[in-house]
Amino acid sequence: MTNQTSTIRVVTDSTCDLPPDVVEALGITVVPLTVMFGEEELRDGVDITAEQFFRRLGREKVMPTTAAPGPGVFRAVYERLIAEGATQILSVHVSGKLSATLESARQGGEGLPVTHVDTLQVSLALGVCVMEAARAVQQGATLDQAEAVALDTARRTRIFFTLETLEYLRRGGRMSRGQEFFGSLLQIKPVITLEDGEVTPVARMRTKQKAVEEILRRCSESRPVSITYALHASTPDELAHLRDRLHGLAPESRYIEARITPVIGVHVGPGAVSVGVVRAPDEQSPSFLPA
Amino acid sequence: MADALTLALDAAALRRAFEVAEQWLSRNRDGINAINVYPVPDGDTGTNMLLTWRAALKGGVEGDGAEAGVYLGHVARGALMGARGNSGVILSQILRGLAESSAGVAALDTAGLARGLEGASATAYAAVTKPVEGTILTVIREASAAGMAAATESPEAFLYITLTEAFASVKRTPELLPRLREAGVVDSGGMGVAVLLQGIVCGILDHPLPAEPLVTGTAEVKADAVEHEGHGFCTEFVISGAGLDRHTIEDELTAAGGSSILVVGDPSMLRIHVHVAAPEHAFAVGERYGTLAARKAEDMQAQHEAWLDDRDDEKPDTASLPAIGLIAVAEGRGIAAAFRDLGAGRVLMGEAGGKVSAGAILEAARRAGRDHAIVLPNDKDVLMAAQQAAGASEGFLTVVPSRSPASGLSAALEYRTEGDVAEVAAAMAGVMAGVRAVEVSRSIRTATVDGVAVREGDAIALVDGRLVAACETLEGALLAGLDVAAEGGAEIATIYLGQDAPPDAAERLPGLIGERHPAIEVQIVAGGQPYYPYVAGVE
Repeated sequence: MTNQTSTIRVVTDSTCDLPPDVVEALGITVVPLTVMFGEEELRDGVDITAEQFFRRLGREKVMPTTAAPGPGVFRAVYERLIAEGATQILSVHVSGKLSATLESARQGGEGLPVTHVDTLQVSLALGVCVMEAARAVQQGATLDQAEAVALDTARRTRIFFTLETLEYLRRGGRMSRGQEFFGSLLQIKPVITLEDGEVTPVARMRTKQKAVEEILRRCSESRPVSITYALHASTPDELAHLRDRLHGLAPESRYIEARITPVIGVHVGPGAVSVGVVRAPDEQSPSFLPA
Repeated sequence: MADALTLALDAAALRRAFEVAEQWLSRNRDGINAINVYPVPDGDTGTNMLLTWRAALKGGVEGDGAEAGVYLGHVARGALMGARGNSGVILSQILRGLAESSAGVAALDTAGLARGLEGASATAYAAVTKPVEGTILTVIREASAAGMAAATESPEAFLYITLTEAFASVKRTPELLPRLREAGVVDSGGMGVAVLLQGIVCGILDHPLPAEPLVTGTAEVKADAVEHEGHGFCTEFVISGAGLDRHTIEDELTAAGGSSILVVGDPSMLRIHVHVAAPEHAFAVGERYGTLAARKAEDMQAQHEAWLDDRDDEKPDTASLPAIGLIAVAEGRGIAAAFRDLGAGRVLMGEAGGKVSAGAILEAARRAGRDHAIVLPNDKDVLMAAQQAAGASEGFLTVVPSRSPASGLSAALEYRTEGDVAEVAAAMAGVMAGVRAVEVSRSIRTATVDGVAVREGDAIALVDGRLVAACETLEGALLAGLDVAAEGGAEIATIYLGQDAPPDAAERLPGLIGERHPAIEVQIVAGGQPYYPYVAGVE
């Protein structure tokens, strides 16, 4: 099957953190989650940008919360894409263990030609899965092939975050393991990752600098690397250094940088920095891979 | 019993002698505490040895009335778990050696006691990885060698020669250990063991203890005066007889030096409570009027130790515990909270002015982890007790040998609740190696230590246990210590403010440190620790 007989569209959610130019170039549809300040509901990245969000976070007394899009939101998106000519939809999402988004998308897609993928990832670790699947579709992949690419990319990527504090993650209820060790008295900088779709602390460091070094050390354990990425929540100046370091780590790899979206910002807090890598395809990877 | 031409020390005689020794050590405790190479006010060797000795006596209660060998076995077991402070740990090994050499012996004669001391010395040496001369080890070795040479003498001569050599050996410790000489002190642990020997000898010979304590905290050793003095044993017993007169017995107990006398009951049975220096004198009064039962003599200050409580047999509920538990020894509420914050299930503080015992560490460990526990001793003088606890734990407990809370807290960052305990402990020790600990206090003496001349009252800074600077202000000492600790580069300095830190320290220190070390991130934590207004970890 080729694109002549089937038109495949790729859908994801706003936790993917993909830069707008990538989203646009690959024709990806991003469904926003919701950030709520009290009763005020704001669509992630639509009604509120990352810059506006972190500025507001500093002022607000109420802690913001997040909500998954309702099944109706997904249904409307899928129906619109079908009306525009899509014959099949690949809907690739944030870990079902972290968010109700995937469940909502499944409900919204009932009876429609939508295939859902739980990447067990978040942020650009989800983003790279979406991006690679969309590239595969662009290069003529079938739905099954694109789904396999998304899942294989999810298997090969690893994302780390260092946070100024675990407080935001704790309040958001996203700490699933090791939540008893905050180290808040010593202002510990935690390093966390996603393991099997759940937030897992991997290290506790005394300074942010040491935490970033620890992340880069862990990233360097993955070789060879095809994609590297870095994100910041509210400290853009930190990216230049990370870009250089990641280039040094894997000069041949593609590099993506982005800003953490508000809905993730609610959980990681200001000052968070994230780095990840995608290992090059291996013998377990599917035969069809985007060039 | 003083007319002993031959010595035959059974359990009861040993217990009496050990109780006199307890009394004598108790009266010399403060003096021994004050003998401290580092002129900081946290010396507690006397307290640690005393609490260890009391734990030994408490252990001996189970073997009371048995043969000498069995009694000493119980004493040694009590000491093993009650040991605290490095001197206390070595003392517990001395008792273990004495007990092992006396196994199967009903009553110790001179030769038996000489062999026992020899065994005590050998066991104590074997327990220490790198024995250092000029310490408690030297004193027990030289005393036992003198005793061995005099084993065929009369009991009095044997005891006198052994004891004289013990004190002579204490006086020689500064010749063997340059840092003692520099500091102008004798070895405190050696002095402690000599004081115990003196108490034991007085007890065996039924000689009264000297009126004045022997030890005043310096190299000076006072001559032994021989006089009797009352000091509080809380003594209780029951007299059964006929026509018992409450008032007559009260009068006689008063005449025997008793105080806080309470006699209740009826003419056929009286219950007696009295504070008296020598409990046997009170018992003797009772024996004149009837048959005694329920005898009890306890030092009034004796500490009840948690690990010996009835809770001891109760199995901790381990299901909710992490596979690998973490415990820390720490002084100061803020520091304890920081350890808990990093996952320590139990934080132990010293008791009664002394260090934490091996038994308390082991007990806490069992209540902190399901399969394993890791302990951070955070003090070089808790290290051996922790190792003794680990040795008795059948592989349950692993020591990560932190010598300061500052390095212990950094090590705790690598603590994991699951995985291979050896790997977790190695990772913790690895982080610790990158931390230098600065401790700031006030000198209690004028001395030269580690080549630094210190006047009494000076603020002094120690880096990783070595004295590096003395100056007028605490802040000055801290800055000088940080200069040394930051040599070769550092990223972060965490300053733990002690309970005696100036109130404005939290505001002032970041600026002061920033001026000298602009690249170092400064973190201030309210540690609340005693003795050290500032403790800092530099990494």
